[in-house]
Amino acid sequence: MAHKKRIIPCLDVRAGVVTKGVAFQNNVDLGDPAPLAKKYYEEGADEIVIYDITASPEKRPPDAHTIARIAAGVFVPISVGGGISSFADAAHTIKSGAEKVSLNSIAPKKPELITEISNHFGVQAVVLSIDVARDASMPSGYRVFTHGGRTATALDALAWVTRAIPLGAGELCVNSIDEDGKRAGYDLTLLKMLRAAVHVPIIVSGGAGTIAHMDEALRLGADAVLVASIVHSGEHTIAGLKAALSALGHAMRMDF
Amino acid sequence: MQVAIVDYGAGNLGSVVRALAAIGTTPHVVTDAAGAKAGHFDKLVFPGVGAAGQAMEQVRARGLDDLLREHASRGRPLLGICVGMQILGEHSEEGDTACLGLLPFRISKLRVSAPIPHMGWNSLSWSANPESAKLRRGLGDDANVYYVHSYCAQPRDTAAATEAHVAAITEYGGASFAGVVALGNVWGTQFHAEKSGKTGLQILRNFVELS
Repeated sequence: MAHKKRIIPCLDVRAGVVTKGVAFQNNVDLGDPAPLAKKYYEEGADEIVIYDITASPEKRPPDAHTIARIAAGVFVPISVGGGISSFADAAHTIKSGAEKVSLNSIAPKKPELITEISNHFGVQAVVLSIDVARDASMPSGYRVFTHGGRTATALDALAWVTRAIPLGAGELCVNSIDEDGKRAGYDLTLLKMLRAAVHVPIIVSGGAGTIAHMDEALRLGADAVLVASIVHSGEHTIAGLKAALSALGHAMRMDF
Repeated sequence: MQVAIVDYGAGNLGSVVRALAAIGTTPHVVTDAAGAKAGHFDKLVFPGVGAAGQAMEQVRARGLDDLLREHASRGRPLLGICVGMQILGEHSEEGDTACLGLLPFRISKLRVSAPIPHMGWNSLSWSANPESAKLRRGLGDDANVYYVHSYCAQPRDTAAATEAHVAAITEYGGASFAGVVALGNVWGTQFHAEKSGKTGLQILRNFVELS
């Protein structure tokens, strides 16, 4: 018996349809999120992440109807991000069926929101999500971006994370803009740096192309891997990934 | 048979309603003692997220503490989930909170070197608790359930499984704590049964189908 590592499929939703891009561009449609989320749940997804990718540019909270439809068929935790910019947005998203809200673009602008949400719903309900890219001019070598990777901030990734997590985030989700969708592996230097810096569970995102990529991230202390292209393409199933990682010695939940 | 969910404003009420719906039960939602009339419900589900202190405050403000005690004292089944389970005990270290006292445990901070909160899937080891056979009906030996918590019912000494109210233990970061508690008709799960996949739905079914 042991604590398990998690495999978390990520559904980027645009106008009610799942989409997947490469390096945050060139999106292709994958259909209705509700049946896809249910399929992943039944295949052993340990959690489901939904990003409403047009919510933030359209200055609105994530689509409640979509969340409710997904939640009706999924009995593992659902984490939702995109456009959450106030306590009311977070409360609305949780009421719609999310267990967790993911804060990204809003957090550097309004760090107190992390505290406000976690004071009411608990730290487990707040995921700090960061999009970072390599930048030699930053002290840690990584710069934080917001708005789906389109807007550079002045924030150093390490400095931001060590400041923001103690405000009340129960989990950190790290996405590498450099590696996103390329399927060449997670940014392990970034992972190691952040693992040493914070005490909350870390979810790695952006770059998984093979089981070996996931294996190395989990060995380096990631608690969960976010997967998108690798399962959306049909090349791997969630169950298949879990069986393979289990065979490599990782504790995985196999009784689904 | 009537199942009710106790609502004191906790965020995950909808998840519990959906999970019960998935096993064919349409629960009533009771928000205060006046609307509840405990006698009309055979079974109560008492979910919870967030901080124990705030939860107890809300429970008291709505008169739900008396409802829960009365329901339990009539011998009717009660299931606390996560913070709902924690405040079935005597006291929580979180906010130095006096709890309902329906079960003989105290809640303390999970002190481990592993990441906190303990978040994710972990397995249950069932004990010889007399209720555990009913709770685990239809489950495998090493069933996994979804946890999210920073506080827990830790044993007074080393062996949690020997305490009468502990029906299953879970280990995390070298510590073990009560994953499931049960004493007669009062049950509790530290994990989120409503978000623990098929295993969680089966545990809810086992509760709902108690005769």
